[in-house]
Amino acid sequence: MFKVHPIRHIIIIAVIIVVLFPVLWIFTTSIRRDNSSISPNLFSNQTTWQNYIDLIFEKPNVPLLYNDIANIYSLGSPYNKMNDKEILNVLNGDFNAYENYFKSTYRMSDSITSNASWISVNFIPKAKSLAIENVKENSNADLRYISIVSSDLAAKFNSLDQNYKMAGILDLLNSLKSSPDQDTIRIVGQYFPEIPQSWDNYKNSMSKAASALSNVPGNVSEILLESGVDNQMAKDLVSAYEETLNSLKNGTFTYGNWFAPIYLRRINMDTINLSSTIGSTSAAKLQNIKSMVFSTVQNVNSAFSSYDRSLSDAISKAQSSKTLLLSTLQSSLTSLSNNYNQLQNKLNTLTASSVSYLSAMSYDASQISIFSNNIVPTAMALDNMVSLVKSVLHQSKLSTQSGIFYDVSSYISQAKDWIAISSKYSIFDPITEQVQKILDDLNYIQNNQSVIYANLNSNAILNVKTSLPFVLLKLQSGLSMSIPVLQNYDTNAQKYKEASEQIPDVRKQLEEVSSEIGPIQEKINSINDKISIASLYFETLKSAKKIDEEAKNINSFKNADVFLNELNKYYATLQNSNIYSQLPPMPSSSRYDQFFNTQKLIDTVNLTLQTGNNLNKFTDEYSYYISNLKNRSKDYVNINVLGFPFSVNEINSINNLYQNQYVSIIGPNLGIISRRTNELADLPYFKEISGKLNSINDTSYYITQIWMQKYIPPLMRWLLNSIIVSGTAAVITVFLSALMAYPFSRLRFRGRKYGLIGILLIQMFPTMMAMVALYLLLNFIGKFLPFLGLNTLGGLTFLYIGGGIAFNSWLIKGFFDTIPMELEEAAMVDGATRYQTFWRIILPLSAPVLAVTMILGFIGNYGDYILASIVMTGLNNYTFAVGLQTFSTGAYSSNWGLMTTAALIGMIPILVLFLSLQKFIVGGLTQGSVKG
Amino acid sequence: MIKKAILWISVALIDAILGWSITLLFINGSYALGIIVILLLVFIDYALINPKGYPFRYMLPALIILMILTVYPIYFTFQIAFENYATGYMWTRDQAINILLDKVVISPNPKFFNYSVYTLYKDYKPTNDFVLLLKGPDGKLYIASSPQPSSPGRYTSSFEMLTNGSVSIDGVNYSVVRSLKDPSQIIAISVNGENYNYFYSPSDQSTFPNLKFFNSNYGSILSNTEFINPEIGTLFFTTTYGFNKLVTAKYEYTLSTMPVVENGHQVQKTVLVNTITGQPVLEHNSAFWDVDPSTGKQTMIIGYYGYTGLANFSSLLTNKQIMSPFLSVFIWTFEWAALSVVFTFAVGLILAIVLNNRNMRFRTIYRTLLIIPWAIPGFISIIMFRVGFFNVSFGIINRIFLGEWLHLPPINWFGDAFWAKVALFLVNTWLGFPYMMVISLGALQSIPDDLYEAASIDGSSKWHSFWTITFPLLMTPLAPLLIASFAYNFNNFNVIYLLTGGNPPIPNSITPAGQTDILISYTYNLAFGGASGRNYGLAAAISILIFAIIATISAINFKLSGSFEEVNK
Repeated sequence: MFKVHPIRHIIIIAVIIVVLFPVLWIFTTSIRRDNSSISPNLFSNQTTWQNYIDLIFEKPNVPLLYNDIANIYSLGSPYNKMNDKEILNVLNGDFNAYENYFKSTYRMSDSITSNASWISVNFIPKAKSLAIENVKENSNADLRYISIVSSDLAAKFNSLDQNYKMAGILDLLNSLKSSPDQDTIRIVGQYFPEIPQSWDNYKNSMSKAASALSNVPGNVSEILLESGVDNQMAKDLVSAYEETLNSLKNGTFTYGNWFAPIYLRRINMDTINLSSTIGSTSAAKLQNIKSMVFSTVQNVNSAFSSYDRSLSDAISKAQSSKTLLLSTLQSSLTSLSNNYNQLQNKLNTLTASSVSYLSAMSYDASQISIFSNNIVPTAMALDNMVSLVKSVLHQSKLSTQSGIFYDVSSYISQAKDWIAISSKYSIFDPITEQVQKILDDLNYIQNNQSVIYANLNSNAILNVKTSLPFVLLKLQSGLSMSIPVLQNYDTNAQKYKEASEQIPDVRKQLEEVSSEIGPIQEKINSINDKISIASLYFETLKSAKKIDEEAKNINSFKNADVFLNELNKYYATLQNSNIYSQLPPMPSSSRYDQFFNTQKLIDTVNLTLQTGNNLNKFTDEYSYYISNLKNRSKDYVNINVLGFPFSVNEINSINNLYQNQYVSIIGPNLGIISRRTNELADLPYFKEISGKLNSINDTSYYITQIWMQKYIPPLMRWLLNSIIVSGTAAVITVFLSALMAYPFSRLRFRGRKYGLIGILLIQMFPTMMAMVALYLLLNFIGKFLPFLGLNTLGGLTFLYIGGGIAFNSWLIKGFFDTIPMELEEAAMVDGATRYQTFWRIILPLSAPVLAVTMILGFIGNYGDYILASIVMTGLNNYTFAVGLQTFSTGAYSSNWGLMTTAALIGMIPILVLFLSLQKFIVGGLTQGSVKG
Repeated sequence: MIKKAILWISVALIDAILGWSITLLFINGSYALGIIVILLLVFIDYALINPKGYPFRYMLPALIILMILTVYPIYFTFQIAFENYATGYMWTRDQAINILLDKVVISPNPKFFNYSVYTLYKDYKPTNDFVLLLKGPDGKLYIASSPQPSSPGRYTSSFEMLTNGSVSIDGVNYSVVRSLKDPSQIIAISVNGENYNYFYSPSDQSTFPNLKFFNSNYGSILSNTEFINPEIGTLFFTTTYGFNKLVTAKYEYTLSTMPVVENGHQVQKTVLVNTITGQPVLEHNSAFWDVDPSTGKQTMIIGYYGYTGLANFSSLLTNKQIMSPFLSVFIWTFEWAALSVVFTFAVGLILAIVLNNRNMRFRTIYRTLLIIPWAIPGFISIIMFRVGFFNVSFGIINRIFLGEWLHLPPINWFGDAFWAKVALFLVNTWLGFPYMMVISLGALQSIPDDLYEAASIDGSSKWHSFWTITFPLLMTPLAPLLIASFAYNFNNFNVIYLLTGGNPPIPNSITPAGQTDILISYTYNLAFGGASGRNYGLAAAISILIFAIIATISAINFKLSGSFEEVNK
């Protein structure tokens, strides 16, 4: 007995896990509640069977009921064909469904409300105090950290030069300009004592002014009352004085905000206008009061101005310190950077132009190489001619005779010019060689003009003379065309040389500049760092002190909140500073999670109570509309059915209500509640209420399922279509194929062999190939036999049958062949006809195989996509294969839950069929592969 | 006797039905289908009447369906492969001419006429006899006579202006009957004394209950009616304005005989003439072209399909814009089929070897679990892969495996040709390895163990004996199946189309070709893609090409597996 090595098992199990993972994923995604297409988790523990319920039972939820009712009232299809009784039936069914949903909603909203209030009453106070304890405990670490940082900063600060300290205080001073506050003033007062002094002065002046003017409003109203004036203007005058007084009393007075709107427009104008209606003495009194107020306020204003001045002085002092530290360095940095950029630009231009020169050169070179095809034959021809001449001259006795054979001087000079340039560049060497040869030949002719002329009577030389012009012509045209190109090449080459020679220089300069920039930048950075230390020191002085104070006061939830806020601000200040990296690491902020989570719990519970309320009100209103509709439905429907257009406005009101209340407010809130309760239920310190939190979570989910817009495609319809089409096609195909296979197997007749070959051939041209033809064919047939046309189940079944016959006939014939003929012969001896042997013997014997073939055919047809997508164009007629596609494209492609559910529902029947037929399939395949 | 009677009756019935359908086919111009049905008729008669045709009786139903659904489409595919049947060329020449002759174009400064319908009532019910009252833009009233058929599918009606409330058209006297209470209302029109009552007007809401009748009974006539008046011209109901009002318009094309130069001679030919420009319509390149008289520029109006010979096939070879994407699709199809077979076979074989041990516990369970990818219908698993796994922004491979777990940048699965191919092979291997595993298991089991024992005695290592014993002995039974799998993957439309759809597209291609397209998905897009027009002719040509390749491969396969011998048994 050989024991199998466990490694085999391990390998197989690993492979199975990898292979079946997608299937597992499909199942788990179909039962998830959250939107798995954006969730970072591969799996989720929030499960629901809602998707299955929706797809299988297709029970419409409220929005779908609404669509149905709206459709009924506007007599869309199929309601435009029904009579009023039928419509009323459907309508009543819908109203009943509505009633049920309303009841469920009330029940569920009560459930979440009661859970939430239980938590609020029984748990939250406890949780609050626990949270406060938690904060108190954890605050120690923070306080320690803060004191370390503060002392660290203080030490560093004290070691700094005065200028740095001044530069560091600049931020604080600027913040005083916009919002003065006591603590900051105290801090800067150490360095600029004028500031707190002038500030106190200003404050004193304000309170003095307040007490000086305390009687003014009363006096003014007395005066006015005496004069009998009680109109709006009078009231306004008094209230203006009151406002002035109040702002002075509580220190919120600012001159800029007072002068124009209050003094000029109200106090001044009102006094003037009122003076004309009251007696002169009262007017004079008012005038006096006005001037007194004005001068008092002026005092306050001047106190403020002196404060402002001292602040500005301090700012300019600090600013000048900063400038002192940085200005020279920064200006030299700027000039160096400009230099660098210039050099960089120059380098880029040079590089670009050298590249362009290079490409021009290569273009020219390729032109020249074309020309060279011209030159070689010319050179060869000329060479041959000259050797002819030479051979004649060699034999001839005649020496010279005055005369010119052929003047080739111009050609010589052309060639010389050509070579002058081309010899400069080695890439033209081959051509140069050729041209040089030509030049030599031409020179020979030129130098021996008279001798050649003397031998003109020789045939060879005569021939040469006749053909020489043509060669020379070709030569000249070639040379003259290519010389400009060559010259262009030359120019570009020289320019390229210039540019590329400059490039290294520029590069070197660039390096030098950048090497200078580095150190300067570093110096600037270190100065900035020191300034940052100083400014951080100042910034944290205030908040550190405040945090210390708050820490002693953490005995209520609100105070803890304030403490944590300040703490966060402090840490944020640290994080924003430049020298953040030099500070010791901050303690983690998750230590306060219990507090924040308790806050979250409180918010969530409040939100739940509020949402429960809203939900009840919303449902009340909705059901009010529905009950109205119910009462009026008989009349509405009748009028509509009689053909008179009648718009039912309740439909619009319902829609508006739904959009405004549910879609904008309640729905999103329910989602938030679900999410938060899910997060909170897992926390250890909320274990006691985790049951209730989960119940709130689940209930909220189910509420949303009733009320939210859903798209439920007619999946069951599609499945039914698929099953009908595939099944019918499979059954009919197998029967027809069995009929067809019988004679091929059992009988011998003319055309049997070619018939079999024909079936084989046809099998090779699958119907899919002919999809164009089939489409048009169905289109044509549909005109006469509508049940077989495009977009009908019959048509698709018809196509599937056609596609399966050839293949199945071959298979079944093979099987029939294995049934011994003796059975039928015996039967026929007993008097059965051929047909009866088929019906009574062959068919029953092959029943199992035929059944398997049918099922395999069913599975095959079920999985066809291409034909079904061509033929079926109406949504309700889709087969399952085509319908599933609609899930994966467009707006619904991110609703993975629905998509995987549909996939699973459609997949399970086939999977079950296939696996139960496993033996046959596997057996059949292996049988086929093992011969004999 | 009864049997004979039944036989003859059924023969007569079948002949009648088929004869009727043959005539129907020939009338509609489907000559090919008609011929096939004739052949069927002959065959059926032979099978039923002649005793020697007994075997054929069994085959009749299957043969009928085979002929119609398999043989005819093959023939039809061949036929349109030699035609230029495509978007823009979807009609026969006659149909194209008829379409042009029916085209109505609105005149440049159109005049609008409002109308009301007046119907003759019989027994208080409206009949199909009606006249129209027209109101011109100048406010003048006209009567239009009842539309009379002029040519098949067309009607004409003459309209004349009313003078003093009456007019005579073609010898028929019309006069208006006004309401006594409100003389501005015309309640009827008296036609030779008979009253036609006010029935419908598009601007009068009170007549809308009659709209249904108007649409179903008058609509088809009115939309094909030409209203003629010698001074004003012709009025029509156009597609632009529907039945809201009548517009001055005319037929854009008419037939006329003109002298045309042909082959150097002047002949009188019947040609289409554009009534607006007055130019004859040119006909070349299997289409009709309008000529702009001022610039001479030609614009194609409509194309028709007809025999173009080998144009489709040659365009595959010569037209660079068609050929180069076609060539890349072609090469990729072969690569795809071959590599699919290699990958699935490798995985299947390895798993089969690991599982091939009779002593292994849970063997059947493992095998059942591993068959599941094959058992799930392909289109389901492919969609799941496409949307859930390989989707570039949401798929779990990019989002979770690469993003959350490994912090690698996402892979552009469907935008990058290489990664699209990787995805295709991954999915196809997942789908295909169970089949390979099962057949390998079967084949492995047929190798007797003694061979291995003998080899190990002779000192051969496991690896060596695999290559020398197992592999060759596997190839004999498996080679035909591998070749069949090659042929299957060559045409594996589902995976390619449903996973990548052929994307990423090949740039600069006038036909919709993608870098992962195989021949059949390319053909499908050509024929049904819709985006750049449907070129049925080219698609059919490529179908034939695919058939040739598959036939060759299958022929080789059949030879290998000895199926041809079985034919001779």
